Amino acid sequence: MIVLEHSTFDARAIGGRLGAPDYSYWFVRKAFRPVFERIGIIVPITDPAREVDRIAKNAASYGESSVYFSFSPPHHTMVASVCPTVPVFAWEFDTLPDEPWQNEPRNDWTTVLSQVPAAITHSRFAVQVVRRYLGENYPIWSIPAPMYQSNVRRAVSAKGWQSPTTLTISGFAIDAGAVDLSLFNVDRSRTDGSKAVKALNARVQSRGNKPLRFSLSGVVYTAVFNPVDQRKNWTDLLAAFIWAFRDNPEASLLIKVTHYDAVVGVVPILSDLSKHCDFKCRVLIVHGMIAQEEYDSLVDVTSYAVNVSTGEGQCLPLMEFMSAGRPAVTPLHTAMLDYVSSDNSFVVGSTRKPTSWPHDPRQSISCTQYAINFSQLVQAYRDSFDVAKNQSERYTAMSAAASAAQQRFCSDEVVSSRLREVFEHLGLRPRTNRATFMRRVLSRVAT
Amino acid sequence: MAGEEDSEVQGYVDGVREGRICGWAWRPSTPHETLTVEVLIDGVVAGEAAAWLHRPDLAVAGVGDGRHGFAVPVLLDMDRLGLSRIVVRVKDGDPLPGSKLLVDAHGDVMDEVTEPDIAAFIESVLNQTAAKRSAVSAEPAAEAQSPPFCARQGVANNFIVYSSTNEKSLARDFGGPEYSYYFVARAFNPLLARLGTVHVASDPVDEVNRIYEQCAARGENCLFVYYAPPHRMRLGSRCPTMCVIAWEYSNIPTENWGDEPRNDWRRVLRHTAGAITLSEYAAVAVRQAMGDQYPVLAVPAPVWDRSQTAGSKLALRAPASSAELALDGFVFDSRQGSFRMGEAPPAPPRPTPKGPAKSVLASIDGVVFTSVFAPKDGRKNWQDMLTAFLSAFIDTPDATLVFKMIGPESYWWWETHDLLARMPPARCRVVVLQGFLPDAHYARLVGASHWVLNSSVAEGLCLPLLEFMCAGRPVVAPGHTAMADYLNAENSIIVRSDDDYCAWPQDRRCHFNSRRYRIEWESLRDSMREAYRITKSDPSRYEAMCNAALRTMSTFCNDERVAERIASFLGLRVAA
Repeated sequence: MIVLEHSTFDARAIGGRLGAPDYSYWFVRKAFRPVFERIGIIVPITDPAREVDRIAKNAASYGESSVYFSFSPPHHTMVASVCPTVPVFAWEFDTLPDEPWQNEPRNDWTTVLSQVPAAITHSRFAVQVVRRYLGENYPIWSIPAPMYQSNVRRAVSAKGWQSPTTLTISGFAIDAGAVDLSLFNVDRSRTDGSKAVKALNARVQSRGNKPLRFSLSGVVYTAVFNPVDQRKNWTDLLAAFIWAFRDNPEASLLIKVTHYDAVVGVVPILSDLSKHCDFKCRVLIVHGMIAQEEYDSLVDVTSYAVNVSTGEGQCLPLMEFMSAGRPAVTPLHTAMLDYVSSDNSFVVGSTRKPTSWPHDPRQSISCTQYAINFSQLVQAYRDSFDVAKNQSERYTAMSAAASAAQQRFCSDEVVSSRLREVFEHLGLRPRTNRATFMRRVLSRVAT
Repeated sequence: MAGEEDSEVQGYVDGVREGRICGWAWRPSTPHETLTVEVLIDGVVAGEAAAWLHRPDLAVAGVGDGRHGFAVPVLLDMDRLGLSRIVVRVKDGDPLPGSKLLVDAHGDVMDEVTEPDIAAFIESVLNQTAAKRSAVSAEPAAEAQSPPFCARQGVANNFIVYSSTNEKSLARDFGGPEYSYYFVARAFNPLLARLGTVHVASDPVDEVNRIYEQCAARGENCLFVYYAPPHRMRLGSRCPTMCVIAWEYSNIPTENWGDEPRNDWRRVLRHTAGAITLSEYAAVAVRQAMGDQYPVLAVPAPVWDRSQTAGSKLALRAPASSAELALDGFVFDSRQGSFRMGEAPPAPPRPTPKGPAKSVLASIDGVVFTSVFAPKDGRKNWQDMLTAFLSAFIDTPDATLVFKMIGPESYWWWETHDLLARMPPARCRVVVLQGFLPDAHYARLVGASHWVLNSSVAEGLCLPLLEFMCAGRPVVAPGHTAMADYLNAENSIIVRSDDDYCAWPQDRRCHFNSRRYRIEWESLRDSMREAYRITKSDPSRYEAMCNAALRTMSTFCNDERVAERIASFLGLRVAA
């Protein structure tokens, strides 16, 4: 069994692409990889049109079956002719693109999906949407990225109230509440803030063994997002935090920015913060790729994960932090319906409003997303603070429930058993790795 | 063969660590190849090394198996070099991203930063020194206060009135932020005439003083009624001053910015004898800033007795019939246009130059939802009204949305076309009336409407709602800010709204010091659907709502009641 897999950003340096469109597909692909490894031999594909059919044909001539997993939205999925193609895609809107535009028939997702023998998405919400267009029996599975096993190990450090902890960041980090942000005010030249962040980034990259140290304590909320992605609704996340904790120095918000460019990723946040004026709560911004142990220390110091998105295909950061026993502050819609409950999260109300499919250049208003109830978000911050500070038993119960919910949602077992269903549906039997055989197949392809 | 892009080298220079230039480099198309990088200092090759160090962060990031790091030892003689330019490149190739570094004598890489405040910011981040400036302005020191207005009984009363927006400035700023002061003044002045003599001033200081001195010489009461936002007020007259403020935010400005002390409204209000606001919401905001001693009255503009439409329920129109009205301007009708994505909308009809304004006819039918507003005013949130209407009535041909616009068409023409093109095609009808609607025809519009709509994020009063309600038309609107004073479940379908943060509109720094409301779009859409259902299927309920609107207004904003409240606030008696 040969598993051909492709995503728009595959072997590229994701560190230089964080936050680009479709970048998260790479993380999904990486997360699926260990499960695929147990099923067959993975062959990364860089150019589907040239490689997929050739490799599959070669493998077939040796009696080996292949399957092509395309970690891309359907309009970027090439449908192979020799082996089955399985698009793996995230979707968080209530309608499916069902009309072509710009002379690209694949922009009509129903065209692509009706040509493939199976599809994978990451939430029951998305499965329901797809089946509304392609029939109740359409072969699509909700299979989240298996985030549980690799993160549950950090659940032991979960606690609501953090005693003073020193966080060491060898990359770019700003304690935004402690510095004068007037460079980022709207009445300043736009380039001043950018210049400062650019120079600061160059400086921290060069500091060598002088990493920045931050002491954190109290209740720490962590949000991981790409500020360029409008769906993340991070201005609400920030504003509600400051509304809830303006005079409370025991509350901290840790923002891990996932965008490759410091200026693009950080300046908008600092600029927004400069409008919020005085606040005693802390806002710490960490940018860029940081070492795993530093990332782990961010998880360790976290009391709650925060997400206020207008829609989520699965929400890897929430899955990661909840697996690690961190309860969430989050709305309950789209993918979150599969794992968020009042047992494991502080649920924020949301209502629908019209929007466009994110990749539709015409911006036709053809679907809805979720607007956050702002006052409920403020209240959820305050309630969760109280639980972390004064109700450690309740925190512990929520922490356990968060981890358990992710185990049910995205453990390796759940993911492999659903993937096995997909393979069975395709009539493919996972085989053991036959390395020698593979080298022959691949060497023929290369020549 | 991989694609051409993948044959490019990727990498990054992280910086200088312990005398070594660190970073990573690889070629995705040949992931097992080890690249050699070289370092140039000030244009001269100073060292080279293989990019083969294992870095777990690269592996996590998907940079091959992570064996692509480099650390090139370079001898940097800091004393001699001073500032050096370092370039890192794959041997004989192009420089890597981030590689054009300046290294100062301490080995720290920096961009060239010469501006002192940017350098100070960087220092404060790196050395984690608190350098935060306070944005809060101090409570203004106690200043001389305006003479209180003490009305003596048994003598004549005089009111000097001045509005920062008059007919002349209105023409310039129609639909602008302060245009409503004109309408407020126009509504209040006749009422003041019931209490005394009204003198219209064209200058808020000298002319006011002149009139005041004359009144004082006659031993009469005299009060200056100043219609303007406090930051635009020119105080300086000796006459006791009462300001009339239209305000729709949760608090009044209490900070200084720019070089304008009046931006802190407290400084201005301290010089006045009190304030009249148009809503309880605004009165609370003023009271919170000024203290309970400061006299504030919340009273609506007296609309009930003031317009052709008001004071009695206009006859209801059956949805199947149509009403004709004429206006000087033009009519946009969604039935007469085609709206396709990507197609440029036609230019708006131009008025004939210099000729008399052309009168055009509009015919309105169906269940009619009407909103009257200035599209230039972002608080009106009219785009939500339009999309919610189109969504609610996608299959309902006899639902009609009428916008009567105040101000130039450029604020709605293009966006209306854009939204209609991007929304799914709907069978309902959208009519926009652009131009001057004579009073009689405005009354026809009110009569032809079944519901009056509002989806604002904040309202100081909303005169159009009052006008329609005074003619017995029920409302679909949120129940926040000023609307909380007169909307209820009997006369309205209340649209849900939620807290939102904002800046005071005149605050150029855009500091989020205040709050307004965000409309729940879903609730707006559902409320319109419910309104339609009531109109068509529940006539007794609709009738009851019309009557409730009328009833509310009859006590809320009639001349007599408003005059009484103002009189008692000022310590005057209403003339019989």
